[in-house]
Amino acid sequence: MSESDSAVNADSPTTPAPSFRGRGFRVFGLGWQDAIRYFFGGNASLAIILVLLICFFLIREGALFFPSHQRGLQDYRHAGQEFVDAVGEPIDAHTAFFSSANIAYFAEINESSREEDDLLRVARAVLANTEAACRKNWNLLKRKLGEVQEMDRALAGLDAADPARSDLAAKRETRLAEIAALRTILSSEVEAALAGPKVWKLGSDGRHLSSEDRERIREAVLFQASPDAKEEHPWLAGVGERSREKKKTAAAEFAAFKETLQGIQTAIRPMRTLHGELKKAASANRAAINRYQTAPARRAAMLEGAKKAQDPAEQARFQAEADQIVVEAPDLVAMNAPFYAAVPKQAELSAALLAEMRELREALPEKGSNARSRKALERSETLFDRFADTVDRSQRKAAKWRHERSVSAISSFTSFVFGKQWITNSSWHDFYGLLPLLTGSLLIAGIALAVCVPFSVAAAIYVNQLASRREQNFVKPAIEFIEAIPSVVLGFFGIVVFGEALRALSQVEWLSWVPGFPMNERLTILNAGLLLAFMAAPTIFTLVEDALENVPSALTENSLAMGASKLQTVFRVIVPASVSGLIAAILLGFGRIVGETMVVLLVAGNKIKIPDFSEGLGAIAQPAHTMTGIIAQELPEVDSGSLHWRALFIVGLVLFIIALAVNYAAQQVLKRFQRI
Amino acid sequence: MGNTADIAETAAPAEPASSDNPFAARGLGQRRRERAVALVLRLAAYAILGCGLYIFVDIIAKGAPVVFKASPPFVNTSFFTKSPETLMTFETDDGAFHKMDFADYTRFKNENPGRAIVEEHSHAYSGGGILGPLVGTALLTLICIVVAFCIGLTTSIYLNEYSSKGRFMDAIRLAIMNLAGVPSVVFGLFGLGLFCLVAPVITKTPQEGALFTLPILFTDHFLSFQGWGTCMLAGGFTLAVMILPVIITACEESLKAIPAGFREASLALGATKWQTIAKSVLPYAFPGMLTASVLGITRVAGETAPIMFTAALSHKDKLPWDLAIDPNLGALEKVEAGIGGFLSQSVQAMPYHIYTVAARIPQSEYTKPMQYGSVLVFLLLVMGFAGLSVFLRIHYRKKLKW
Amino acid sequence: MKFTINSTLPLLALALAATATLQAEDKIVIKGSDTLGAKLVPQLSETYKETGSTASFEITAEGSSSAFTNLLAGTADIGISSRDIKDSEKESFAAKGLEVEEWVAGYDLIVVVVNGKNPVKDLSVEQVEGIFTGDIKDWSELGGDAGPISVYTRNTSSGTYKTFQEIALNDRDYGADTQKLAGNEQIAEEVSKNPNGIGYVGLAYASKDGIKSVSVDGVEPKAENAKSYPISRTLYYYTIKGKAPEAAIKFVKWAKSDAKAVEVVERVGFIPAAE
Repeated sequence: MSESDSAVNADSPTTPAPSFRGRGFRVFGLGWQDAIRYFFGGNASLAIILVLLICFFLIREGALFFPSHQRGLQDYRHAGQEFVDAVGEPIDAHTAFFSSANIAYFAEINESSREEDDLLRVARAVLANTEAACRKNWNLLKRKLGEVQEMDRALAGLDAADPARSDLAAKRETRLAEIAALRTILSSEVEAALAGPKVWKLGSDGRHLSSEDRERIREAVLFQASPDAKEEHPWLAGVGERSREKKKTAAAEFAAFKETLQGIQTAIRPMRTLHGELKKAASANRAAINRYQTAPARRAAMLEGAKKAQDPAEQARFQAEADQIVVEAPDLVAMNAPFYAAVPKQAELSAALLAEMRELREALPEKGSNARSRKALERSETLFDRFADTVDRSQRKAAKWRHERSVSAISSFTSFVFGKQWITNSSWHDFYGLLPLLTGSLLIAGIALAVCVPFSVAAAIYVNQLASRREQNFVKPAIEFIEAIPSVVLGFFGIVVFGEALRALSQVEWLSWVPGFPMNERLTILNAGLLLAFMAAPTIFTLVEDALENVPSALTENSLAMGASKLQTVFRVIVPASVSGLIAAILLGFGRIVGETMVVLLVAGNKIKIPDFSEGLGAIAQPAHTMTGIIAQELPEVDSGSLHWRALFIVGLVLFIIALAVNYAAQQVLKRFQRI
Repeated sequence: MGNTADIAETAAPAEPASSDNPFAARGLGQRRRERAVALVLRLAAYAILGCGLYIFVDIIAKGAPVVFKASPPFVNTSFFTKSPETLMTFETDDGAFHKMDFADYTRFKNENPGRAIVEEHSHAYSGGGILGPLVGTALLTLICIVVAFCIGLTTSIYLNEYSSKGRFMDAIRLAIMNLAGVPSVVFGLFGLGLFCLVAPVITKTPQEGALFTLPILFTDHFLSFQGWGTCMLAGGFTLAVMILPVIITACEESLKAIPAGFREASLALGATKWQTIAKSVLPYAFPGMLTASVLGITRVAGETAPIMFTAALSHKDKLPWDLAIDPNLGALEKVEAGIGGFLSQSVQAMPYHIYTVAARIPQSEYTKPMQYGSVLVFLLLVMGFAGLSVFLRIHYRKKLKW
Repeated sequence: MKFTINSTLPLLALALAATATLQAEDKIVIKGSDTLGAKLVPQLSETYKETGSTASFEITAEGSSSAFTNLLAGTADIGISSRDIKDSEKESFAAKGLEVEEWVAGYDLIVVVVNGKNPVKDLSVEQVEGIFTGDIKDWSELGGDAGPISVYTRNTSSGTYKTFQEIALNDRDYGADTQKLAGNEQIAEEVSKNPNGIGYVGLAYASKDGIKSVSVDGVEPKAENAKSYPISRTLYYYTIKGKAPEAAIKFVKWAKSDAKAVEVVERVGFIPAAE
């Protein structure tokens, strides 16, 4: 062993085989081995770089969002729009109150003719179903009738002597013959359809239909089922007439109610007029402010354009346009003068409105005569109180409002995080409030977890502890296979099959105790929640199963040796021992559900509003929008770098933070319980 | 598990052993209750499977007639050789009903100029086949896997072979773990922000909006940070970032499975670290890594949100390799333009195509074949890869035992 | 050394990818409105190719706003829009020294549709405003059967969304209860499935089975009533003056004037622009 070899020997302590001899190549003191090592290390640090880059991109947009959001809010105040919206609040509250009272009124009127209306509705539904059942010939007949009409028109335009006339007339005759033939075919088709059960699928409406009425409706539909039916079947016409009569009588009976309603509508009119005027002024203000703010940029743009345009005429045009842009600061004091001037008038109108409305409310019926009107009246009671509060509040807000007060950075933040409105591409002012999206996401995730946790945990316990080896080998891969179903496929299934099935199910009478049933919508929180529950089940299943698997077998053996039964062992020993894994699994499942995009985009219904919990859990039958859904829906269509675009990145940042928090929490849970 | 269940049967005596034993069995009623509980648990497991089965059966029942047929070659070839088109339905004046793709429809009209056509309806995206989306998904997946596998492999080698415990390692592990939990739509945002809008491009004519531009020495080209735009490369890279944690973890697992003795023996023979890795570790870990990348394909092929902003397109009537290249360019420039042009195209992709046919077109008897056909093919594809990864895992586990 | 080669691959790919973007000369990229892009433009492009043109098309329909963002970014040759260009958008073009050229593609009526079983046949413009802004909440207030109104509207970047807001809603914001859907066909689909549904679609989409178009202020939404119907609008193609590829201009001109193209416009359900 020579001296020169000892350097190599330090690397490889045993006697080196000649083929493995290291080469002495070095650059800056780095050998091959080091270079390879650093190459791998560099690649590994890519993961860190990626996480940092994601943070960077999301946070950069965030850092840019809040200042421009703040500026937007400042403009909103400077233009007086904030004042106008404050003045407008009672009007919205009034509209809600009026709508509710109005519904109560119509409930009273419609109650009087309920029997007739039910019949009419059933007849209409049967007719529509029949039409759908005979769609092909129906449309054919409709088209031929149209053709004949056109020919008639053409014939009327032609001279008697025109040679084309006889041709056309002959053609018309053949059409008429075809029509006659088609009519017989159609009527037999209609008859066949009416004999079958399909057209009588009426949901809750058909429940109380007597066989007598059914027969009459059948006749009426048979009589009317043609695309050119003008005349109503006499019996049906009679029912309609009776319904109108009864409504008229009821209207006479409730004339006072109607008068009150009219009074309510007139009472708000002065306020509406004031609001309308102010709104116009504020809109003009905002436009002026925008013009002023964008003026330098526009001017620069035009000059830039002038520089770039090749054509001299074009250049001159750009130059002229640039010169036209005047940069003159709008006089905020003068602009907002009308609003300050309106404060006393608003106070006066508010007081008058409130007094008048209190009187009118007294005139409303105490109690409705049927369930529907009772409910609507009760609701209008609460809505009135809200209205009265709003009038007060709006007056105070308007009196305190000062256009020059600056909007703080904090309020830019809070109005995003706690904002209740997400209104974009508005002609008035864009609001970016996270709350509707956050509540939508959380509600859907809550439903999904509530449904999927019991199932997947139970399944995991069964498969891990109770199932035979053979059953395990079948069930486990099968559930893991489900995990591979792409979410867009689930979304498709939700739109095409599940939504409709869920709604049909909600119409079933004995399920009406379920909150929110019967549902009208196909695309709802519930639909999305259930699909996501199915999607997350394999994830949670696998994680819980792993946790159960990791319980030391000594625990199980000891328990069994103590004489515990299998189930006792499972529930009192194994499950408590693996509770940390269980909680972590649920947390990670939650993370997966909140981050899911395609299912909610396709199935949740995209309504940007905080779910209305006035009917308790019935809110799950409403549509909602989610944080992931809004990004997917709106990002492809907004200007990059605009406020809206940044708002979407911030929503992404919120999602990212939630994901990190969930991950962190899961790790902490695992750590803490493991220590015990 | 089987024998522990047997033990449970025998170990639960009918008589209570001792009253202060909390685990004491309580007779026949207890056993019956236990059976009931077990049954409930079992039902829960089968309820999940039942839902999955129902979805499969529904999609297969409605999609199979579109994709397969009874006579050889048993597959509806035109569904796989055409791209999505408008479907036309109409009647001729003799009352005959016709349903055909738009190209056939125009041919029909040209060939029968005298025939009056009535009751004409068009159904967007419902005709033709799914060639375009299939090709697009294949390309996106390929790019993604190549990128993710290269990075994932090297990272896992570093993590498992080189690193010792320390801050750097903890940071990497933490980053990987957090990356795994990020919602896919956030990756879409990130991909859009990085790859589409700021990633570097080598070009002779840098765009104005670029973040910054560097001239490349000795050439007339610039390195311009202007982004790749919406294209398959951006989509593939975005998907690669998303899939990275899965690939790294899986590669690391397969490296860990190699017994330490392999390394020790190699080192003992005087091999260098790298020689050990290349000759004694990787060849045996490779099958496992292959399985990992197949698993990765399963995951990325199904993702819609990340490619929505970065790569996907709803209608494209040419396949990606139908490029028109300026014939006046030199040979090298042609290659450059060809590869650049190829990778900088947007593509149709299966998941985005399904999103389009699910959300943008109504459900009718004419649109259903396209909807269910695409979904079935897509599902079979993804499931096929999932099955393949399971198969590979079992296969190699059997083969490589030490 | 197989693996070092492997790991240099991404770098290689990156370098290749980084080469200049290349536009095939006869490729026409069209982006923008769903109203135009879902049905009309794909069919026009298909017909255009039948006439012997070698042009190839790429069409994405996300909403009218995307027409201008893409034109500006240079990622589209033709922008399709169901509203006219906003001043702010014009300015952003001017900032790049560009100017857009406007071509009228046709006219369209925005049709208010309800479920086929709904007895309501006629609404006034005020009632439409009330429904879509959320002032009117129940069908019984409109003479229908009692039931909460489900309102379906388009996504916010849609030209239909904006035009409808301007014409029918007096520029007021849509009510918070409205659901935002991706396309005309989807609105028609939901309304046909929901007995309490109401929505608006372009004329081309109103003939679907199971929905019923409502006359507004007594005027039926028909092509022949285009002048008197209160909610009508113009549809546009936009190109960049002097910068648009020849093939794109040729296509737009053809789409506006050729008899075959006019036939397609009519068949799809729009009103062709009179030459």
